[in-house]
Amino acid sequence: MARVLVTVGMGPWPFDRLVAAVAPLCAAHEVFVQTGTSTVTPPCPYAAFLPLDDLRERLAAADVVITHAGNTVRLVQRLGRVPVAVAREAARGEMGNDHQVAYLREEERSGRVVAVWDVADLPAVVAAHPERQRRLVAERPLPGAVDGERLADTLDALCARLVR
Amino acid sequence: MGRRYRILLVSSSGGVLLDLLALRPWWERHDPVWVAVRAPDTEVALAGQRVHWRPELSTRTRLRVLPATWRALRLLRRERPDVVVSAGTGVAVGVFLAARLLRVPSLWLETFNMTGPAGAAARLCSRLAAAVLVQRPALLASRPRAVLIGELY
Repeated sequence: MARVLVTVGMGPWPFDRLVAAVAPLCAAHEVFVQTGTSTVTPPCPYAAFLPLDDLRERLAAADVVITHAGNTVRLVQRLGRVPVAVAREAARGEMGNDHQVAYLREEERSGRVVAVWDVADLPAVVAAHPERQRRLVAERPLPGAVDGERLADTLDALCARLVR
Repeated sequence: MGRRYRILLVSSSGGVLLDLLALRPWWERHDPVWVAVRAPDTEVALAGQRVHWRPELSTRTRLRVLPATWRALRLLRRERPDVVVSAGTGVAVGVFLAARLLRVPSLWLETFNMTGPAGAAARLCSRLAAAVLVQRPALLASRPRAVLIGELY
């Protein structure tokens, strides 16, 4: 029994395919789902939207995070862990374009992520996650984030050049 | 301490909001004002900020780009920003068009998970922008006027 957090992000597009696929997990694990604007609901505790602080706490407390292939992927990686990610597909009405698909393909090749392309695989993926997470963290490096002071200096220098 | 800029930040809800929030070490040095799409995440995250709420534009509502640009022109004349910044999405289009007309430099921030070709709003805004801020070195070659800022989070 694992603590599983599922999040589909805060954007305006529904992600019914992922939310519906969570059902089999609800019987076996302690699951919470952030459903966004999805039109289906899971048979376990859920909320449409979570304040960012609340979401960060839940990300930190979960054993497994299942997320759309958005910026949450990086948030989970920065917590030293490996997210399970499902890409939103434009053809299914899950987003306006396929950039999550392109991003997840690339991240799957070289980054710390478990990509799921068939949501029916989720129960098996969750069961295998502790071992895969250990291996990916050991084998794949995570690029560092920019320091705030340096970021601000870079942008100030750019503005000094552009602003009259 | 260098010059203090009036910065207009433009954001929809979702990951693009996180990107602009991650620029906080920069914009809190200056005078920020926001144009944002009202949503559960923007309302909470921007509490305490000065915000002009605007509707989102999508490919289905693209005809609204003209009135949106008109409203943005009036807003820019009133706020007189030195620089405009956005990571997306549709709401940025009118503001970037207005900024270009008024010769206010704009910065387009490519959100982290944009690895391939950009969407419609991103293509247009990055073309209008004075600089495109990218988070990975690999994008420097494929983006015009790209400036590497590093990974935001």
